[in-house]
Amino acid sequence: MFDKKNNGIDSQQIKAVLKKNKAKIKKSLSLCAHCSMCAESCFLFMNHDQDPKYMPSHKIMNSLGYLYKKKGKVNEEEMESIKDIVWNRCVLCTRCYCPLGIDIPDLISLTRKICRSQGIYFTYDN
Amino acid sequence: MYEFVRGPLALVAFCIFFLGICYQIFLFFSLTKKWQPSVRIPMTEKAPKNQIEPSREVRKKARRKGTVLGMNPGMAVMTTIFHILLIICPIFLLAHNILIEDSWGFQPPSLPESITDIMTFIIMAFGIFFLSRRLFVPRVRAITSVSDYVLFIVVFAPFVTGFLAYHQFSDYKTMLILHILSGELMLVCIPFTRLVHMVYFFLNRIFIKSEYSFGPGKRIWKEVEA
Repeated sequence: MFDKKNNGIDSQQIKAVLKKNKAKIKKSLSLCAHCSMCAESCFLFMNHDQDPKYMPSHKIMNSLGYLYKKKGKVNEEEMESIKDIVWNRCVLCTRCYCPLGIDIPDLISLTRKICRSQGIYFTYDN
Repeated sequence: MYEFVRGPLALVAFCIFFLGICYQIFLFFSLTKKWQPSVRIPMTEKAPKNQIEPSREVRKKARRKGTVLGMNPGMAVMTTIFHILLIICPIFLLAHNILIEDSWGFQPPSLPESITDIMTFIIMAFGIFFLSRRLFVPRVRAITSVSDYVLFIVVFAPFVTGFLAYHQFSDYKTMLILHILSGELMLVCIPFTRLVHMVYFFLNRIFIKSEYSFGPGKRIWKEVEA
């Protein structure tokens, strides 16, 4: 069942979730005008010297956007980097604001769901 | 060449534009469904009478603070002006409306040429500003791809060529043909590229259920069962 090439990541399962939510994902990703006007709405962006890595649109593009582009064919290392984005760079406070109406928290939440489906969870340091 | 780009090619571009917009609107409603609120369990305890509720004004202020207008008012105002000019300028341009009169026998209302000339100049100035943001502001550069530069050219080319043609800075006929071709390219691109936010801005912000919805916001995206 698991794709051995991808070190235990079940690409088919990820693909199934992506397919189920295709309408929302495809429209959201293709609508983003890359305007970066969502940046200031993220308090983590503001508190990390306005590091672009914390910008809501950057987080979506490099997590769910990446999964969608790769059609779920990702390896463990890539999933770990997605985990870092959706848990360590976002607290899901739902305050991010997109002028075009893209529901960013919903997309982050969906990415967390995909991570959980692969046994990847948020872990505490201790 | 001029007759071809002004006649049949323009007609094809307008048809693709309007049909494409209709298709996108149809697509939006077919990909979304009515939101069904979950059943609410009635509260057994009433809120104490002395509980302080934030006033309507405070709630409104807090709500606005979370938007682009509250956080970055300069950019919010600038982008709004830019988009309004982008739509008003070509629609109320005298030269465009004379062409409509030549073809269909009626002339829509037009603005004085000096005004639309200033509008075009402002749009081009916005173009330089947006391009500099893409090139030099780290947060914008971080999410910029090649397609952003291509779309930038698609959007601003009609205005630059129109401005050059109007002021006859170079060969008028060539510039005019380039202007018409670039305008047609933009029309064709709107429904099928990221420029479709022209339609989806309104659809998303009015119909999709969201905290910041402008309208009823009673629709959600459909999920497809595997």
